Amino acid sequence: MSESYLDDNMLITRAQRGDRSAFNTLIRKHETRAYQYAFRLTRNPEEAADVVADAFVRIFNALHNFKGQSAFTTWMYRILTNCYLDVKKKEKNRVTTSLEAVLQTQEGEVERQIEDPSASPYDDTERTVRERSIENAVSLLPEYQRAMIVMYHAESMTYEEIAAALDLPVGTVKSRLNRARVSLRELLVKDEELFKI
Amino acid sequence: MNQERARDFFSAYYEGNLDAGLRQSFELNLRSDAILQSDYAAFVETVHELEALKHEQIEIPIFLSDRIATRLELAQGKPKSGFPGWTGWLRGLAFTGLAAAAIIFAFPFFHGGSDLKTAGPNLASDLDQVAFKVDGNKVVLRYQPSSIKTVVISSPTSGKEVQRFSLNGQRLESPIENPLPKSAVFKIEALGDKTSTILAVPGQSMEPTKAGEGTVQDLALALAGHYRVPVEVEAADVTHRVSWNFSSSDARAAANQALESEGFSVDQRQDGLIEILDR
Repeated sequence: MSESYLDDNMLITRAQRGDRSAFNTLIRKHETRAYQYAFRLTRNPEEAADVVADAFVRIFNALHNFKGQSAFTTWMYRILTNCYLDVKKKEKNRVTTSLEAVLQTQEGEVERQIEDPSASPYDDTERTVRERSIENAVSLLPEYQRAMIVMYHAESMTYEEIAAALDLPVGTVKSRLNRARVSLRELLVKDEELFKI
Repeated sequence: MNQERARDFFSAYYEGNLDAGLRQSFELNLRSDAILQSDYAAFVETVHELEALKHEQIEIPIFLSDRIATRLELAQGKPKSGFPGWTGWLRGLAFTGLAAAAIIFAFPFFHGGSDLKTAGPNLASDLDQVAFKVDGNKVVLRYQPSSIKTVVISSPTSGKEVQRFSLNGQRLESPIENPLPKSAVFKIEALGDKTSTILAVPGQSMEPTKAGEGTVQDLALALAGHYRVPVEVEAADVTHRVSWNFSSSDARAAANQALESEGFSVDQRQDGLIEILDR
């Protein structure tokens, strides 16, 4: 039987009783979805993988508290979002270094190696420039708004599911999501103006 | 209803969820306000464009499963013996579809900077370059750079990244084991360094093929498979073509025979690891 058909609640119950293979199966079943969500938030493979790894650690540690009142995926999204927000909080508290900065080593100065997160020319041929600007604009939104936009428009979650994942009233989700869409529109307009010839 | 207030209802109106009274008021504003009309049209366009988000193809990195497994082990404070039961399948998954599928990077140990002080004055300089230690049927990758470094392990044939470690003064010890029958080859690179290292790790079976030709990297793979010894290659050009015939029962002699007239030197350490260097 494909793992995608295994019931989450059954796996969780088994994992709560100490069955490691059940927890392994749970990870295997959801790691792709978790990563896609994390990547859409971070736009960075390393950071996204860290968010997912941290989230599964939290899930493992809190598994005994999971009562099944919401779907496992809803709980997973909540934890992923919290992990992502924690990463961003840490980043804000960290002293930033200029991209042009050099590292001082015993062998002298070494240019900082930073991976260019932008798409390769190949990617550009595969996707439209407009899609890229949408993704870029989403990445410029405040973290909470970004999470909501990704949950609704990329992960196809309902307002109720988002509300459960973020522990917010549905009305708040709706109004914040509206604000996020309006902000996104403004960001896209700025983007258009910037590249207008 | 002013423009700002009207914008608050864009989503609800678009989704048809605005109650009758508000909808009437909103539509009245919309009809009489050209700016609002333009804003709303742009809003609708944005919502349509957001549909593209769900169609974005996101490649899952091969290191994801390994990252999860490692983080879980670290969180549980697993001892070294924690390898590989808990993470074996995760790591197996991590290499699915990769030519270099054979390798298992066991639980990596990171020793904090304080070890530098306690482990003796020469340790930091000894490990300032990527080094290997043979430990039973495992090869342990050891590295303690004196500056911030990132070590990337990849498949030299496909170029796919298998593992990445970011180090900032810690000492890395990452056991590498190959549970599959055939030998496997890896490229280990400290980003920013001019040279990289090729490591061939023997599999679980002896590969009987004795004669062959190919690159120095291919030779390393063949040596590891036939003699079941790890082979490290540090050379600027690992694509240099050579031919070999393992007529000797001794791995070092066989490697030397293939390389002696090709500008490479061969040595075998006490722990069995064959080192191939360009002179």
